[in-house]
Amino acid sequence: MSQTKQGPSNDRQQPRPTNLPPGVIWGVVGLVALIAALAVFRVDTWGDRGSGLSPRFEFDVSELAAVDPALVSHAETAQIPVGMQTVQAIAAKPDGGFLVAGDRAVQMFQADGTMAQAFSVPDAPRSLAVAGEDHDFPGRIYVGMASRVEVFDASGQPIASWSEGLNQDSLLTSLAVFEENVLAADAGNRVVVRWDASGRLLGTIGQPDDRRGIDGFVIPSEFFDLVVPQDGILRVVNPGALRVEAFTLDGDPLGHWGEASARIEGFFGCCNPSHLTVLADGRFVTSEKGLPRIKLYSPRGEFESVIAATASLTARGGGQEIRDEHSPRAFDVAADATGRVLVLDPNTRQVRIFEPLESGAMADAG
Amino acid sequence: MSPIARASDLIPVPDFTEYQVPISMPPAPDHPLWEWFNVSLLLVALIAASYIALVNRSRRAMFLLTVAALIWFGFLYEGCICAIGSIQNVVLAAFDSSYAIPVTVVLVFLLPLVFTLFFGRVFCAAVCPLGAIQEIVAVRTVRVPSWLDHALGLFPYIYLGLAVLYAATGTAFVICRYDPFVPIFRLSGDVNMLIFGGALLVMGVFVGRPYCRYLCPYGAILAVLSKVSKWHARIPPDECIKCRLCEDSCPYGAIELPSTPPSREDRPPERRRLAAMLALAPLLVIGAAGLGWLMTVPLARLDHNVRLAERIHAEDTGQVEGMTDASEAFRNTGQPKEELLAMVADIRSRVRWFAILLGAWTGLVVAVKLISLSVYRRCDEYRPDRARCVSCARCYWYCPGEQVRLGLIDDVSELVDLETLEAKPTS
Repeated sequence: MSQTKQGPSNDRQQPRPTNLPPGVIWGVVGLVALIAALAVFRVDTWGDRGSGLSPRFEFDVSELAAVDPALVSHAETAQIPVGMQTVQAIAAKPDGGFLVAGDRAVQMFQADGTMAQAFSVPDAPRSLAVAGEDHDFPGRIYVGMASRVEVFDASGQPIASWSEGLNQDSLLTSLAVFEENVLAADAGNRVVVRWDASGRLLGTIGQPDDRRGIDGFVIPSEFFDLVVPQDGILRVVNPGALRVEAFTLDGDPLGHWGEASARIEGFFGCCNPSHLTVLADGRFVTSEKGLPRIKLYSPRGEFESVIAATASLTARGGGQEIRDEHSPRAFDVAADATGRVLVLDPNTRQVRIFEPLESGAMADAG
Repeated sequence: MSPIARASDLIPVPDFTEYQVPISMPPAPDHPLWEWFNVSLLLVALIAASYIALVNRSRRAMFLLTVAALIWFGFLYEGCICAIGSIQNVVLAAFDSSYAIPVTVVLVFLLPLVFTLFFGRVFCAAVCPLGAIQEIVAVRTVRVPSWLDHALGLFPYIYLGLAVLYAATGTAFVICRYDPFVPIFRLSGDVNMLIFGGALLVMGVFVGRPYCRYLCPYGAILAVLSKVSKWHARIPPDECIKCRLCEDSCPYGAIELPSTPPSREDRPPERRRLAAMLALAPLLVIGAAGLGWLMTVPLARLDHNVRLAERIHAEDTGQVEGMTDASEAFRNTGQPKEELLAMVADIRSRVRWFAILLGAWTGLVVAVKLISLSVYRRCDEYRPDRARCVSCARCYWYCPGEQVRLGLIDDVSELVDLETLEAKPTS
């Protein structure tokens, strides 16, 4: 029967023939096992060995950090220490003073930097806004927690807590008040939430909507800022898109400005600007993280000047060098009615005040 | 100056100042239906492997399923998430309430276990892509000496303990980090891991399925479950005639041979040996637990914060020069060193208890192995060792009974001399 030849034979009592002596096979197996073990031990899990490339090929950001002195329009005129372990947000008051939120408290400062008052908040604050004269309740203080807004009167007494329109994914990173509107940037849900002065939800802005031409916000990290200037048009940073977008308060897109670029005129890195504020004359102040720099843009979004260059924002930190291109922290900014730019330095935990150079000083500096 | 150095001088340092940064949008997550589709495929593959191993008994069908699993779950699905790695997801979810584990991942973890409880290690047979890639290269296998096989066979249990420790403490998913075949499936990865995977494949030509047998932590779980599986693949389709034709057919050394009971003279020393092993077991567990406690510091070193703190300390005390990327980045954050040290103390405290448990587990594994080697187990036929057998269906063909079942011969006597067999003792 021919099929029987296909079957096994009971003559095979030895291990499978390999044509190679066992010594050679085990030698090969041992050698390969050794190579395998060495390969595992050589895995650079923690990146201790770096890229292995010559230092010539390191990404040197010093050129990008360099700023032409002729472009610098402001000078630092004061540094006001904040007695907190961590500082999160700053907001200017209409009377020239300012507030700083951090730890679990809000500190209120007078225009000269003297601390006037402090009050505690129930959770770690992340954002802050003060109502102006145009608001239904002038002087009210809004403090954004991760997923709710705590409302205080001008003396720091709690009034209400809002969470309508927010959920467990919410992460409020910025607040703004315009007339009766209170707006919050919710980085967790990638939208702007809008309430009236009583805390009633009026809607959300920025959800992707092909019909209205809204692509949505790209928010790779916990930085998502907004501001409403006196023109009543909402400006929201779209950090992943490296630009500032404009919306009506009803959520209709009006355009955007800002260019993704390594040049000083543009925004650089994964997600910038990290913070945004507006001067009384309608010009915008932007703050970038990574390579920290604070810049001034016209109301139409054209680059005008540098308020603080990378060099002036780094190499501080109480004797320890801090190179902020590695720091996850960012500089929040606010602007008071006199045109001073208030910069909250998370490394030195100071409010650093920048004021315009005297007329002609820019040219002299150049 | 070397030619390479001269060449590097000629290459200009890149200038990014004019680079137009593209706007990057985060990729959309996979649709949930996609995950469910893959879980469905896993289920179908497990059913098919069970049917082939226990009913169809076709090595060719099993091999085709192996190739299909390798292509889909390996090269197309890129080996993630796999049942082996899912151990860590499940453990982390058990120990960290803030970690949300998808239902699909739980199913990827559970389905092979359930099938093993009913049909043996059919998942290893032809569904697991890591097993599949090794199955295909196992063409010139040699028998691993018993002492070495038993010793190396302890590693999967210890690796399982390590993986649980690191997953439970939230330190790392070491199974994934040191997965030898995922870089091959993705055709990309750390060069050392590619070498590791390639070396295992070369070894796999001579030592069948080295990862499955001597490393795979999921295989360790399946081996235990397979011992009590309701059904399991058998070498003969019906009665074993002890013809010995299958004796060397398994490339994984997973065939149990018929055993001879110890003689009356041998029984007392064997009993004494078993008693000694039983007495030794608690000592092994306690001793290894103590060893685990002593290993807390090196075990905690896998945590990147612990390594960073040690590096910072070494730099501050002048033991090393320069900074690593991690230590430089830490210093640039301005975070106080004391905060890092406090965090590390907390991590070490958590790791300590798991290290003690890992030590005890290792001692238990060794003790159980020593006891099992001291116990006589009666075996009347050639049969798969349920713990080791991966139901690959290679041995079926060697059985004359299978030839009869396939209709290739009318009776086993056409292949073997039954009278001679009666007289020949088994090995």
